[in-house]
Amino acid sequence: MAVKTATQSTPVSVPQADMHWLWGFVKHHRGAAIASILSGVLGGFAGAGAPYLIGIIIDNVGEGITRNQLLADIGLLIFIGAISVVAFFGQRYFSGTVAYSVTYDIQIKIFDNMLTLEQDFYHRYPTGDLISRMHSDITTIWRLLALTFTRGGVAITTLIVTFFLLGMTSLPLTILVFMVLAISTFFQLRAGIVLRPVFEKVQDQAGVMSAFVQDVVSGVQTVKTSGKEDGAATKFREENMQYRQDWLYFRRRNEPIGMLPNLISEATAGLVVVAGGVLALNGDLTIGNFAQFLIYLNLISNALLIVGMIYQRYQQTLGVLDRLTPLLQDATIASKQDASPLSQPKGEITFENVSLDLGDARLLNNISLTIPAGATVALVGPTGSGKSLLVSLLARVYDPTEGRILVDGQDIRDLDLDDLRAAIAYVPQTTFLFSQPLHRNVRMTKNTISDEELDRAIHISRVSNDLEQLPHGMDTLVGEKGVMLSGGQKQRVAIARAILRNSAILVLDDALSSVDTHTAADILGELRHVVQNRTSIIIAHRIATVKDADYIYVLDYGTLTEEGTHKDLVEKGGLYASMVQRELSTEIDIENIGEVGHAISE
Amino acid sequence: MRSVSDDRWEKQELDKEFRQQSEDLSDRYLIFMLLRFVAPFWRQLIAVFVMLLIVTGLSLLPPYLIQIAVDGPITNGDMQGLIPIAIVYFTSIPALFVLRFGQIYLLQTVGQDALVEMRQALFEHILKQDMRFFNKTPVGLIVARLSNDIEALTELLSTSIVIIATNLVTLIGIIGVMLVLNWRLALISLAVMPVILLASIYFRGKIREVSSRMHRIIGEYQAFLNEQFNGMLIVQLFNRQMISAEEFDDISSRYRQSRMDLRDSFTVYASFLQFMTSVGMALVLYGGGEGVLAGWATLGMLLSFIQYSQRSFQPILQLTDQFAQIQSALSAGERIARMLQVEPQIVDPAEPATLDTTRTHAITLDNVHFEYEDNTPVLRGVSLEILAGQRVAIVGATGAGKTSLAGLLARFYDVNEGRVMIDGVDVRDMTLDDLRRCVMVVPQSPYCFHGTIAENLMLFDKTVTYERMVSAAQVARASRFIERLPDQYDYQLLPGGANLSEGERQLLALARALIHNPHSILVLDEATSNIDTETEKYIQEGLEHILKNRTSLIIAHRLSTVRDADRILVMKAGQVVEDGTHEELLTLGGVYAELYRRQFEEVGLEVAKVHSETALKEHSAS
Repeated sequence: MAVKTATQSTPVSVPQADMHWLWGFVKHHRGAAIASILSGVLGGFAGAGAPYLIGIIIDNVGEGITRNQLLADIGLLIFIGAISVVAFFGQRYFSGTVAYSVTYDIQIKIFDNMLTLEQDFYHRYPTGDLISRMHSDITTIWRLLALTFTRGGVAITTLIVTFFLLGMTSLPLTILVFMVLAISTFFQLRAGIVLRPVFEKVQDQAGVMSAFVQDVVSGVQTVKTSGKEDGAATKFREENMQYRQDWLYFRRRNEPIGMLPNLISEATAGLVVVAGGVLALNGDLTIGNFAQFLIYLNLISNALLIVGMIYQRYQQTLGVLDRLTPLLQDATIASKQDASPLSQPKGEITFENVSLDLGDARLLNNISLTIPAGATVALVGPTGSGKSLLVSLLARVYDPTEGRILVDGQDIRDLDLDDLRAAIAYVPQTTFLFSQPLHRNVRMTKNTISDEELDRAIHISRVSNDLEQLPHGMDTLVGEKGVMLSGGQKQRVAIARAILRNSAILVLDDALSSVDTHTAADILGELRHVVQNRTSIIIAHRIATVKDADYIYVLDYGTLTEEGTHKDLVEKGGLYASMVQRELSTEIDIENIGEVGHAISE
Repeated sequence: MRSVSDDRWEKQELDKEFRQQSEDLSDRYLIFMLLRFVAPFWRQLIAVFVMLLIVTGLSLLPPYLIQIAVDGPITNGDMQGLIPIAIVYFTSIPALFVLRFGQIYLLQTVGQDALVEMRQALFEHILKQDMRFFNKTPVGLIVARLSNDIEALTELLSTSIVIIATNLVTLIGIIGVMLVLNWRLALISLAVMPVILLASIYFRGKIREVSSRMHRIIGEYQAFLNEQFNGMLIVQLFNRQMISAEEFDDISSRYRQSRMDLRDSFTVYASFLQFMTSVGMALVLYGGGEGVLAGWATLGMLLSFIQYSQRSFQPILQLTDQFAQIQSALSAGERIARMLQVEPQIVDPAEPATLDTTRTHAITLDNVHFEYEDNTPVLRGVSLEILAGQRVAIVGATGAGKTSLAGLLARFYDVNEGRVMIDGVDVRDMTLDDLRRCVMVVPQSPYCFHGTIAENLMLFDKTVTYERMVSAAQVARASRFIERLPDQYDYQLLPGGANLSEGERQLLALARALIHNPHSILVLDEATSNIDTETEKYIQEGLEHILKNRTSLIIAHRLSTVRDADRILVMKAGQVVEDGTHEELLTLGGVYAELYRRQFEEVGLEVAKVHSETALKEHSAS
């Protein structure tokens, strides 16, 4: 009976990226946040105070004041202006600090988490879409923060201060003004909610488009050799047009809402003139009061516009936070809290009734095997039989659906994940190189590695053979931005990388497939010394590569069908024997056997 | 953690990149490029401009109306006199609203249409580039061009242009109106304008510079993420998370810093303008006050001037707000323009030779020299004659130049010296379309696109029928594994084809090649290296069938794949050192015989020994 796994009983926890989460980041920069809001309050007072003073000046001028009095008033106005500027500077400066620091913190937080997420996660999200989330979605958060901290404080203060200042002049007129202007704010708030899904659709489509570009450019050689540039362009046009449609749909609903405050404030100005005119005729209102109202109208409608905009961005940010949430999920494959260290691994490996389902397919079925420390075993089997999956379980690229895997007698899920992976030097089928100098691609983590060790690894893997072909030797930039290496060269870099790890377990997953037989044989010969004290698992198709292994496992359709030494298996006459037979019959030309036999015996 | 020399080295690379980027592209070129995409919509643009003039005119009306109302009816106590003024006022407002919306509606539509074309043009332009371009340009950078940079232009074309134009027209209108109403007061109000203008010129360059630095970092940021996400498995297996996190921190910090720098320049600039508006207002009040006192201005006039000068500052402040946006849009436009300027080096010839793409092709290489990087030759004088229908295998150590040979034949690259010819025609004299129809390369690590198996096989080509797809899959022996999958041909592949094994991906690529290039020269670049010998045997059968009337080049390490070829070429250090059939090369006793002997030794030593002993006995017996 299969053992149910421990990790699967603990549910995957997904910390929701919500406003509370965002607030946690803002709190870290509360100094700047408070400073920007205080500057806003100061700016609100100064901004609202200036029109009040202007009204007084106009009335004074109307009553015929002296030039000195006028100059004194104007001096005061400039002073208030200076305060406004200081406040303005503070708002922009500090809000910038908050918004940029918080987005930076969020980027780091998310990326650090993504470094822990398992392959399963990366298989579910196209790379282009992830990039779009890491950039354009985080920018949306930045927009909310920047607007809130730059303009939020000043908008609220302006509204309060103007209400009181105007109320002192004429309460009925003030209430009228505020009520009319509130209509536009109401529309904005509603639009924020209604348009949120529409905005999200635009963001989603942007992600789709990025993902498509990323995909096509990554596979551009295939597109080109098949001459399918036109087809790709047509598909791109579809996505492109869809984006245009979504964008316009959003904007056409959003724009009128944005224009509303202005319209209403202008209408209100008319009302003020008519109603104020009546009041002025009665002597309740001076011409200066008029001027105040007209200027304040602008201020109030701008302030309300900002409040509405903040709310809209708040709604957009809610959508964006939902898109960021999956990137913050806890890794399902991670060290347990009470994980045991694996300090001096010996490299004994046991698979106990291991099965693996991916999607709805069972890819590995009830596999049990034990590899003693220091042994060299080989895995063979047809394409798609599950060899690579089996070894990837060992490094916990996936966790088995059923059963368990032990290293040195401990369930690997109980071990510290870093320790486990440090104990394994893994050469996967496809090699990945970073856009860095070659030596850093070989060194990977450890910069403490001595030059001798590096040289040895390069020699064993025969990377040394190519150095003179590279413009700067080991300093040559490789990877995406650098010099192109051939498939075989890349594989040998991967092997050098693995050798340098000096780990207890070495896994070679068809790691010599692109290396010519001659060099491959050289490397294998050298590796024999390297693997002497290591447990090694070799996946290969060539019998030559596997036949000297201590033990050979044969996989077929995810099931372990045969095991034994080369000799055992050949005698057994099963799948392996037929593989050997086939290879012998194709590799060795029976007609020429005598001739080659000569060559060997001579 | 990092050594000093690494950092210095990286810095040098960055500096180099920076110098390249900062070679100034003239604004004129930039505007010309933008115009190219906007020009088709000139009718709509004229309509937008007319509306803009009307809107601006109308929006200048209210302060004037208020001035009339205050100076006339309100001062005189004539309530009746207010009515006509009020009617004009209140009708102008909805009219304004409708016109403004119409104007934005039109412009945003035009803007999007232009951007769709630009994005499309950029995408197609990028697809046209040669492989050298793709080898040197990180994918993330291309994604950044097509997403962020276009997005930056979106704001410019759909919002900013309206704002800028409206504000400029308004500003000019206001200045005109003020001058007409009272030239003395107008001059006083406008006194601060020259200062504002000078400041804007000063800050423009500064902000543009920081902004383009920021966008370069954004490109780097996206390229980095692309690389890390693609290489995440290696990052994790090799415990490289710490280094990756540090690298990301480095880029993010520089990103933040560039934005902070932008903020610094911008805040100083905007604050200065803000202060200038206060000074301007004080000047109007002082001058106006004097004027009223001296009798050359009325109170109503002062009131309307206060509004007008406020309205004249508004465009300036709004333009300031747009400033950073405009600068970043321009620098985005610059990067797009630069990418559009990159011309592929491998292009169709002016007078292409006609080629029969349905016949079986012959290949000739004439003293071919080739290098990817200067002074590191990959091929050194290769001359070959491959007859139509021949099946040629190429073997040799990694780095011997086998893949490069295939790349030259498909014209992913051009030779440095010599000629590559198909049916006697230099590949450089054919159209790329023709050439690609007659050469198909199946690479070792085939790429799988996001989508289903069927989509991957049909590869954006809607003319491929289901039957043709299935029969190709059968011939390539891919149908065996496909039919075992849950949804068969509709099976959804994970990004990078992660739910297929390497060998299965190779089978898929073979099938794909059969669908799209039925008559071409087939180049299999280690296309079956990850396939087990059993499946390979199946493929061999399929290949027999496929290759019957084709010329083919098979690059392989497994001698079982190579043996049956009509001819085997052995490459070493960029040269063909041996050329002949399997038997001939064995007899020759050179590199191939040695290779063969080694594999032979490894695989079948025992068997061979037995055989050779018998052979020896027979030999001595006879």
